[in-house]
Amino acid sequence: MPPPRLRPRLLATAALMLMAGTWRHAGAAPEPGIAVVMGPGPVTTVNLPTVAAIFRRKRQLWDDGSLIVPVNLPAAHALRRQFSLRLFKRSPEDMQDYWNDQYFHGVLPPAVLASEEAVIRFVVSTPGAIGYVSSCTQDKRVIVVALVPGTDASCPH
Amino acid sequence: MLGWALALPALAQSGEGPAIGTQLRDGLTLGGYATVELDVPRGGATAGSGMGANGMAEMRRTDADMRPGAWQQSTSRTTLTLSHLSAIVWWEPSPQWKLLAEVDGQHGVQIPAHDEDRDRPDSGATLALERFYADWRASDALTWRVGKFLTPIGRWNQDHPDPLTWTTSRPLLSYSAFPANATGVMAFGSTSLGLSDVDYQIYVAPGQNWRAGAAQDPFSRAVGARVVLPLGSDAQLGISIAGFNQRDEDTDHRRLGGLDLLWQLGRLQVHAEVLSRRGGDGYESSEHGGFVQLVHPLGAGWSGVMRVEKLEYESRPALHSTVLGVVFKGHRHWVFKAEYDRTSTDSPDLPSGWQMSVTGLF
Repeated sequence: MPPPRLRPRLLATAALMLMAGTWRHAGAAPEPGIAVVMGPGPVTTVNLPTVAAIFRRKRQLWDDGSLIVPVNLPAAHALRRQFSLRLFKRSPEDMQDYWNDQYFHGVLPPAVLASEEAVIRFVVSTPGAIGYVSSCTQDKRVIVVALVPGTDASCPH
Repeated sequence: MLGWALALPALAQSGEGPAIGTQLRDGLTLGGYATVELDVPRGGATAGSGMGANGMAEMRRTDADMRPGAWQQSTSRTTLTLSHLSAIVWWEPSPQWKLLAEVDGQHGVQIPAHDEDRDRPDSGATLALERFYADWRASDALTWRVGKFLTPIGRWNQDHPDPLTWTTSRPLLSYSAFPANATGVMAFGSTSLGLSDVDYQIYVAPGQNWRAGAAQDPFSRAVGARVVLPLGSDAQLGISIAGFNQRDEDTDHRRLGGLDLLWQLGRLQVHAEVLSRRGGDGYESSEHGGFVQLVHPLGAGWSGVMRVEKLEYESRPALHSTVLGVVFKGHRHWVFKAEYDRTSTDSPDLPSGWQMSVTGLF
């Protein structure tokens, strides 16, 4: 089976690779933001429009036909709210109409996990899974495939 | 009409999403919704109109048939109706396959009872097969659908379930100009256009609907397409085209084109649709019009809604409709709607009066 991978979207992906690469290799000073993470595998970068499409369940398959399994943090989680506002320009509550609509077409929202650690464990153990954690949460078990930049949060030192 | 609706929600809120439905087994989900309406037509609940102990009043007025073979009757009585008890079940045995069915029990309970409507084709309790199809997803850009599906014309028809709409009534435009369902084959998906995704649907309905309702005039054949273009992050423009024949006037080939817009302008939501249908024989087959609906939050879960609609026909006077109402969306997906509908002419399709409803997902 060929490895799952996404088609590059040149400009956005290139920019994202630069940002993600900077975050991953800059050492002790990660940029504030939200790291979109997956378990080790052939997917190394995903551009932000694709991340948004994945978390709206508009994109459900990797290019090899395997299922994309997005996971969310709880709606009240600060990182979840930032993620939603940055990617969709809407709060989790404001997305409710969208998900109600999707429900009638047989599409459910991403599963919710209680903590960032749970997200990390899930994406590491589940093929095709993708989640997000604070960029401050440097963890060698996962790779960062995208960085949602520009959040106001700062990493504790 | 004064109405209210009852729903049966039992949703586990997951945050932004409904997380509705019950996982019966891996990949098999069951959900649905229910709505009860209480309709009080304009003039139907006036003092001295014979309101009974149950708070219901009844007055009827029968209009002459307007076209051969068509059942035309308008009522102006207060009714309490379990208008929808809808169940949706879908099964995804693999990432590529999905089977979905929706059955809608309509008017299962009505007070007063609708015995006197027994000659009316759409009276009484009915069990409608809204959707029944199989999807095979080749990729996110292409999915094949075979079966009975909601006709992809405009936005409202595909998103018409009560929990998704802001009014108890629906615009006449959203269902008068074309059958709500089609049975055939559809290709659909999302494809990238720059950094945005464009959604498309292309369909062919070569034969009549499965389980077409007695009151419907279904497609006898149809072909059409719909494209939804993003206009920035806050707006979507839909373009629909179709050519079709319907069962009752099969020789009259009809052509239809429409535009729809959904625009989130700050806290104001704008939903507009325009549509034009042209027919060959000219009798009741050509119509065009549109509606604009505005929804704005009022606070504490309440929103205000206003909709203005105008339809022009080739063989009948134009119809104007205005709807003013409020909507409350509560926790666990209960939706309460109250509105006043005023139309330029009373008809069974667009009665004037108060309507209230409560709907819930389960």
